[in-house]
Amino acid sequence: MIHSLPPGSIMVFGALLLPFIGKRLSAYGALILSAVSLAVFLTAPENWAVSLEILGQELNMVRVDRLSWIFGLVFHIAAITAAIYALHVKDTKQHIAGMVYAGGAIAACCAGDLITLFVCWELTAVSSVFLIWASNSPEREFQENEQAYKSGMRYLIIQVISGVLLLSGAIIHFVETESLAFDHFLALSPGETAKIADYGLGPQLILLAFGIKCAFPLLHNWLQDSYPKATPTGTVFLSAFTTKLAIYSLCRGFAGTEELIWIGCTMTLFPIVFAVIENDLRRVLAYSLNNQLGFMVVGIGIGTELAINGTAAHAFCHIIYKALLFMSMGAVLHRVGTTKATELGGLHKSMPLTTIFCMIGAGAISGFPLLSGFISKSMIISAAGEEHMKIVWIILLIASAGVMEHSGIKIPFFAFFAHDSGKRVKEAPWNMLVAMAIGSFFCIGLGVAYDYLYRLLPYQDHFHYTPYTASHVIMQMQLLLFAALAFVFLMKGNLYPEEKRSTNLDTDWIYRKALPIVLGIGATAIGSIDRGLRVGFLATLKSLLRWFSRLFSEKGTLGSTWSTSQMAFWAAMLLGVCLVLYYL
Amino acid sequence: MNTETENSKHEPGDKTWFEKNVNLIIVGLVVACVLTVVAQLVLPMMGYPMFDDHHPAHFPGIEDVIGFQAFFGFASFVAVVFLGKFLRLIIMRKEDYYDS
Repeated sequence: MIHSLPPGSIMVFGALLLPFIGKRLSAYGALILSAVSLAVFLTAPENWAVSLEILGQELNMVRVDRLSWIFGLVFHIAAITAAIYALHVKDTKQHIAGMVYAGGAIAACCAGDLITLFVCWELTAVSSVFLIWASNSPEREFQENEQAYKSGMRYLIIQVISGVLLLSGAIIHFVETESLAFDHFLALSPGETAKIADYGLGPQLILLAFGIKCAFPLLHNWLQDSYPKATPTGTVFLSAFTTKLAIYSLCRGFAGTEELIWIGCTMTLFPIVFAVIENDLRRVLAYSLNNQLGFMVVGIGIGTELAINGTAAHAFCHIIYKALLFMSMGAVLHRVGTTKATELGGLHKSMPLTTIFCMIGAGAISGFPLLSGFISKSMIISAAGEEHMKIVWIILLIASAGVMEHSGIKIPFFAFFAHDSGKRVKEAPWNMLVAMAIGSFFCIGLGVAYDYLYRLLPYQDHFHYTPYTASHVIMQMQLLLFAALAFVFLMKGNLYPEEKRSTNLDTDWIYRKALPIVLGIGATAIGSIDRGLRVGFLATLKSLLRWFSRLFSEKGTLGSTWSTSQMAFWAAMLLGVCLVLYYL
Repeated sequence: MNTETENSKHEPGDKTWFEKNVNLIIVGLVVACVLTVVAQLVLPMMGYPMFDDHHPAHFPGIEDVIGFQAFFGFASFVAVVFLGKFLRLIIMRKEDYYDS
């Protein structure tokens, strides 16, 4: 009975009951909901599928295969961890938003048709924006609240645009093929490749919708704009679901699309440069998230069994270590009130456990052996190697060194070490520590007992991958340790750019500054043309009226009394003209 | 937001293990760096080749050069940081840029 509902629906519908159990208990209610949902998910029958007929069209609301299952599983783990992390929050609104958002994402990755996908897609967009708006609090300055509200609004508009593109694409696809099934749009098998131009208009629009959510280059900035503005606990939810749902969807619909390799490479590279100079450490993590998505998009573009397995594994590990890093920065924000590097430093003295958890997350994302990033990222890099894509392989190595820079070193170093800011705070609350401990457990566990994860990956038939070969380990250690050495060298030589309080422009400049200016100029121009036309028209009308009134006035040519001889002359003239015209 | 901050004065005795042993950590890092390169040299001599038939080098002449990834890691890191410094010249604005 319970398995006739989509996975995650317990969280979505259960969340609606949270307001009735009181502020204190709602946090525990959310945790129980996500745990029950996981239990249902794990006890589901193999090839779990539910279909529904609407208007003569069969919708496969649930289709759980190996690809859906691994994403559904990690989404549940993320939801439970984030719920524990948020246990101290007494704002029921946030718990409802978090549960609907997580449940929607789980249902989306188990959706077998495009309409169900669209509904869940919009559900995640609308519910998650409350996690950004929830950071409005009377304790914060008005300006900060205003910023969070505006940023949430921009986030919502962009997410809804993505949903509209998805729906439009789905309708066009349906008209072209009479199918709403959500499978690979060119029915490619692993290893086969295609170009974007090979897809129809419908799938191309859907690709654009996925691209927005996946933070493709130039479509990415909603991520860095909004994630750092959410609540400390909200960002942990946000970091897990939206973008990885897009990764899952790309895996399902567009694996083996060649252009994705280059889109992914760009995504791995440009955020690392932005992350170097960013002061807000949660924003650094948002850039880092963008860079990690790049690795996965490259894997999807390569599209071989190893690459898709690597992408799924990397998404799994990434959700956990990224959440861990956001949790550690959330704990800092919760205690210190800021995550700006210029105001932090020396926190390892007062938050030692948070420091250790953060360093485990930083080690995992950098790909140190025995931690989770190593066993998943190396699969994608090896997949590029196996296809002899030399440039892609080199770009991924550069990106790996970049990850070491912003997430491996910058985040823990500037928050917890560097120069002592003199701030002495309490260690993070117990529930935050428990959640971070769970994250750390998975980071180490997946790095050591990687085989458990490998057995869950989508393609098993020809899959034999050994992450811990002498070459992998030694090469990776060389890359990471020498990158760390470069950091020491730059710091000692005073060459490392010091942290500065600043705003760094990104593509959001286009719609936050340039567009309003262009629209302003446009409006002024249209206004002045309009004014000119109106004034000119009125002046012409006035002079015409004046002329007519003169003409018809008592002394005017037409208004004055004519003499009899004048009348006779003009009558004769008129008759003469008629005569001439008649003969012509 | 639960912010409990007290600014304490820096006391000499306040120093943690990390602060006292920064140089030791750096020395450890340098030793570890050297070891990774040495391992790449020595392991094949001891009968543990870096690449074999099961795990071949995908890009012979690049991947199997001694210290390739070491050089690459160092150089990429420095390049990324300098690119960042350069980027700052173009895109850095005041903190309240969007609010003013």
